[in-house]
Amino acid sequence: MTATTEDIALDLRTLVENLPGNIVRRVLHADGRFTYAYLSQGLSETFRMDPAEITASTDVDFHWLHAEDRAAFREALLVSARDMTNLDIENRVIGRDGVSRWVRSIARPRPGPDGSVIWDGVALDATEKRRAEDEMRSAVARAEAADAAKSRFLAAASHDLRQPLQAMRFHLGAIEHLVTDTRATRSLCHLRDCLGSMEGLLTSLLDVSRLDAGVVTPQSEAVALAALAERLGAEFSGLARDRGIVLVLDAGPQTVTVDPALTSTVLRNLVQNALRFTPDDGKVVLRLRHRPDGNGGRLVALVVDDGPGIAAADRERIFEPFARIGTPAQDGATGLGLGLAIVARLTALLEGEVRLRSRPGKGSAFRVTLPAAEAERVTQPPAPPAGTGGLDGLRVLLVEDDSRVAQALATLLDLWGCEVTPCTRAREAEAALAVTKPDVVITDFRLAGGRTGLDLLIALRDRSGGTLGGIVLTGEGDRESLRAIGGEGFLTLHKPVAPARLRAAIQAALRGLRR
Amino acid sequence: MKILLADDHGLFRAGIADILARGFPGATLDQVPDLPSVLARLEGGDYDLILLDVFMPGMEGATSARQVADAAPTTPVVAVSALEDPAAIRRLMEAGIAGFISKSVDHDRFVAGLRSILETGAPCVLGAAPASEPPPGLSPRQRQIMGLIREGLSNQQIAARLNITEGTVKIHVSSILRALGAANRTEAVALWFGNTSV
Repeated sequence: MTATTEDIALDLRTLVENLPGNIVRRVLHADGRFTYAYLSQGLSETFRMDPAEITASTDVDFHWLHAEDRAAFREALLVSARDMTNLDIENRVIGRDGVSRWVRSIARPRPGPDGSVIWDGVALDATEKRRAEDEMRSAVARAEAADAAKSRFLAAASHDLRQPLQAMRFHLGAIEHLVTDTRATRSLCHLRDCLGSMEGLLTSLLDVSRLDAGVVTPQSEAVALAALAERLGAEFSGLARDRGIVLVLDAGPQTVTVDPALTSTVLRNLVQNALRFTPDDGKVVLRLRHRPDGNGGRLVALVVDDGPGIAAADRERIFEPFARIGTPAQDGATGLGLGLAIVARLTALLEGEVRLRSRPGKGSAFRVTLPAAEAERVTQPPAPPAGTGGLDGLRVLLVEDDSRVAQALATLLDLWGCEVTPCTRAREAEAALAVTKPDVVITDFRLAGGRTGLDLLIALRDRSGGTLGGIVLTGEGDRESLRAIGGEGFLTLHKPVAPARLRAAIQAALRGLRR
Repeated sequence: MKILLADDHGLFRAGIADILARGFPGATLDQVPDLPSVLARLEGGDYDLILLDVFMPGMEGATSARQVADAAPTTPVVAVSALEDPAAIRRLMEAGIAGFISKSVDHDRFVAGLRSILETGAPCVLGAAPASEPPPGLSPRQRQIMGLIREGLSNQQIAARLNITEGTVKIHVSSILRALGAANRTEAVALWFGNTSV
């Protein structure tokens, strides 16, 4: 028996009605109206909507959608119609029970009769998916917050943990001054050593914590291999010499681009370990080379020691925090076993690697390679001048008729690198201003001829176009004028003037302070 | 002398108070634990020296140092800190403060550093690094004087040449000798010109 058209139609309808999910047919008419040609019954269950009500409408307003989502949905349909691309959008549906649910609408457009566009598609319940996404988002936010909290904690811990140690250092210093008994002095010496050890341990612990927390960022600079080696020499040659250990520092001539502090830490920890495990009269070698490779080059560091060597079984373990293997050559060697853990972490952070070659009885060789491009050799920049810090060449006009005070001030100013024009009278000052404009004017409050230093400053400032730093030196009887001076934006110094206060005042005047 | 000490750690403040009492007898010390209280004190008070931990919680290094300096424009601000990041120290000094002293220096150097700042006004940076520091620089004026010393001029001649007093020249020369660690002018010339390419 052949199926009739009616049978087929009935079959299809039953199929569609019973499909899980919801079937939707939307139409966009040529006049811009939207209608729904078909909505399956499932919609009423899943989304608590009334399909009949929607299909009856000749101009749907999408009122069942969340108010914030309506415009976007309409827009998505228009784009889909224009470009003939699939509709695929998630938005919220408010069911008749008032509950908001997420629905994903997927539909394919096709041209219909009379210039219309028809979409056949599905509407899927996306509530669960959304909830999972939201949870993941808040999990990420929590993780980021935890990271930030960890950084803050480490910074605070770093700050706070050091304080008692530093206070101890001060108090230790105070006691040392008061103690004459030799046994007591010896004990204090040991105390000082302990203090040093504690500070070292704290630093290691904090270093590992910071590396684990991911808060360390390498900052590259041009560094000469020789400079790296020299730094280590300065740190360890004394210790090596005391124990009769030959410390060989062999660096190539190149300058490379690496993070100097982090690289130094890697090298330092390796050399320190090497020294710790090498017996007296042994040898430790540090070799630094730059090797070109396809990627700009590598820094290759080799640290070789004469110690007891490391068994194959321990070769991985020694890079773990707090790992201890064998007995150090030095009695009572300190250390938490973090040195190599820090080396491993830093090397990874710097995108390099560390390898160990060792055999019991034959010493050990640690080989670190770090990506490092060769750099232009940098000549050591001259150390910043210790004396002036920014007042060099400053033009100062000094108006003071007491010659001792004037002399003292001029000496100080000259010491600081200023160019001083000394005057004893207001008239001279005005004349000097006409020749060169000073940066700062320092004047006594009481000037000969009835004018005050404040009057003079105001006049000079007007004469020089409104910007002039001014400092007034006041004595005992000038208290009432303080407010007037401050009101004009000038600074006051009481005589006798302390050098550091004069300096601070000039800096402040330079900062264009108005008070 | 009136000193204001701002540091969040009580133990450290006690240690410093002790050192200041011995190094500057007769000075009064006000202690505050944070930046807002510093600014509050500066509203009413006038200090001869401010010691500031510029990295304690609530402080932002150079920015906060400048804020304090602006609130007390005629008072030298000396930054004290446990941290010794050279870049941060450079920024601090560029902000125009009077000096930086690391918390790790022993107390003799601490007092000496403070005295130097107060008495000469010259800025001073004291780190915990031991004596193996790079050779110090000289200021342009000092370099000028070194050149004249090398030419064999006496203090009087240098004073005349630079149009300053002989007294000032003597002060410069002592600073130079101290900065270079030289015992006399001849040694200074050897140290200075031996070190740099002329």
